[in-house]
Amino acid sequence: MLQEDFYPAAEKILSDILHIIKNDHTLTVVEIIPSLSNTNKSPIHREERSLGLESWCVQPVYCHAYKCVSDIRKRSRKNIDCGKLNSLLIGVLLINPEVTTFWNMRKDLLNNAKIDPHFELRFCSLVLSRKPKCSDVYAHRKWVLQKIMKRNHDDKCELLLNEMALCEIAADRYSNNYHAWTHRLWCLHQGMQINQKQFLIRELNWSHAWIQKHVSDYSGFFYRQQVLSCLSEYLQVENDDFVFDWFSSVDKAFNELCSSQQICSTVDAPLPLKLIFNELNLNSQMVGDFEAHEALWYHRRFNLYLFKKYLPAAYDREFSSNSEFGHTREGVPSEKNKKIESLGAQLRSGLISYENLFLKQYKSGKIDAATEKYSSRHQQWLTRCFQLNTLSSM
Amino acid sequence: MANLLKDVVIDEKSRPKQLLLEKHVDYLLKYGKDANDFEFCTTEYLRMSGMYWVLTTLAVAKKLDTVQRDQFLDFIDECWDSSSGGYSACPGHDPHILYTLSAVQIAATLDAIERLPSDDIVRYVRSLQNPDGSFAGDRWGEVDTRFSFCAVATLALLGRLHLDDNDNDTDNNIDLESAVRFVLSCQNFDGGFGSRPNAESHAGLIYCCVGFLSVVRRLASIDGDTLAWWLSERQLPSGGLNGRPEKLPDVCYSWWVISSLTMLGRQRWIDSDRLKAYILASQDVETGGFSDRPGDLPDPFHTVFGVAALSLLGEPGLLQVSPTFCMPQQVIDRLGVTSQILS
Repeated sequence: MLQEDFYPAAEKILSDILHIIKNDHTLTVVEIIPSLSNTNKSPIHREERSLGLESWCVQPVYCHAYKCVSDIRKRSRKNIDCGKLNSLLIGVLLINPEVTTFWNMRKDLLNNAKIDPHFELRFCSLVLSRKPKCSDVYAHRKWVLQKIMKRNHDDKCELLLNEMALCEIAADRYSNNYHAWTHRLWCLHQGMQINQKQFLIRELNWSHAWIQKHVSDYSGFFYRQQVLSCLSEYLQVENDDFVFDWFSSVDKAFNELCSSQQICSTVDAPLPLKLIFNELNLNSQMVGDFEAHEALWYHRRFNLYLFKKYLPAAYDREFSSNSEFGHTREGVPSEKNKKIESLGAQLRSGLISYENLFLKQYKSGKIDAATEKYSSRHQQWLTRCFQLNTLSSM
Repeated sequence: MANLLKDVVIDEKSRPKQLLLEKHVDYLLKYGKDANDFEFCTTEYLRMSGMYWVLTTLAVAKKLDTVQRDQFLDFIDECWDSSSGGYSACPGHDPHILYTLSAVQIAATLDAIERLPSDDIVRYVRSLQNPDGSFAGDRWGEVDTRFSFCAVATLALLGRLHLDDNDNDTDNNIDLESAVRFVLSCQNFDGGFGSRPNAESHAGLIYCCVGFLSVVRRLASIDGDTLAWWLSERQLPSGGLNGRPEKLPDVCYSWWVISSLTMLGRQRWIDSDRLKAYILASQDVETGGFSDRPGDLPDPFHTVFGVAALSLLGEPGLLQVSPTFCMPQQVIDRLGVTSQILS
């Protein structure tokens, strides 16, 4: 399909694309512009932050670049014109980023210092602007980032924050974007090695805003669940109540639960439980505000699961199995432990009443069919998988 | 606030209600011959898997006699990389564990396992295991639970997976215990599995992890009820299954969910009549082939999973499919390979 005389034109288009990407650091988007035929003018357009490619040239440019790269692979690897190879690979991968082998060739060029890793990050973002869910791009990006972070020349925090901003754009462009969220989680774990507290608080706030705007996107909720899990672990170890300067509503909501369930409100509940209960409360509001969203009901399950995990009795059991804490040698609970167990029991029954009260609002007759389905599934899940009915006798 | 449920509406009158097997066979035999240069060029990066999809569909449809056996086997040979021991998706590309499994599956279906360089393939698989038990897809190191499945399925089909302690040949085996530990570490509170530890539950990755545990006979390590509960909630009013909450139904997810439920011995947890109706409605009555959803364009990927899912649901006229390997059960039996299926 590729005419011989198209060869110089294809070469020119490829080198122009490379030139623009190299020199214009403001570029953020690459698009294919629908067009009928070759008008004998350049098919490349520049406008604001976008690079546009007329659709007529996509097939011939791709086939030309693909064939040239394949020929290079067949020949000896010596004496390769790396600049030309770079432009050919860019041409193919901008159009079809799923050719894993060609990303590998770019890794070789990076290893041989023939491409600048920061250029590579910019090129990857442009590919993601067209194909926000392509897993190969995220895998490649992660590889490049690891390479950059090993050099220790750059500000790692800045790199990771830039990365998270990119994930936000990709998650916005394509809902339930699995690879974008997995990549963001990877960044969070990298960031936590630098400054655990700062990254966790940042992501807690950011994901709070995100879920309010994307109530159908369970991937966003799932990400928030990972943040909540890490933060709960952190709070359990650090017992650092600085966190609650960030959202003063937590103590208030928790005290409301305590008073509504006749729990002595001066109880010294573990910090993770306060955090999780705050989230459960937020979820109750969202289920009321946004009708029939499975994502919200699933997020609720997670909150209950995490609450159960951090109930005081659960600590106690862990302690007593690992050491001699908790119970005296005769197996009689110490005074301190009696207190903890009684607090655990109060919080458990408080949770059960809270959940029953919540579900009463979603009984049949009052609500739409889809909400009724999710509410009845929730009830069944509580019994079958979560075992709420036996929670009080744990 | 109104909310539209993410699902499709199937036209009861016009939906295809019978399996159009002849049409699908024609569609696959023509596929690749009709394809223009561009489409052929842009799908070359996964050609080996494409050949596995086509061959498996034809085998399950009992039409293996329509293919030229040598064409497939020659292609595999061309894709073998002697230095690593793995297979690539097409000649001249880099080897990857995804295509290594596809190549072994193709050879197994064509009863040609003995032609394969087994020692080298085992060496390749073993070279990809990390100290934490996970597997990389290739030498560049990306980790995913899909690759754990590919690793053990490849070894099992080659007869080189040693599950018995007495049989444990440390020289040509992987570290099975750490491989199991890694897969189990990818399970979430909802019972599902993701691509890595703490990654979201996803029906395709659940198939890989349950399939992994089925191959290594460790299904007892997981809470089947909680997982099957989540899987059964994937069924939508149209009868089709999605792969994650609030996503559209898709024929390929129908396979991943139903095969996982079958391995877990809980196929009845979903309404199989309605699923069957959804899959049949996703056939293209004109060209043949299955698409992701009724009315969309068909492709070989959705065709194999549509046909395989129908086989698991007991559709007459098809060979029985192994829910673990997505290959004809008789091929698995011929190799003497067993996998764990809960009853």
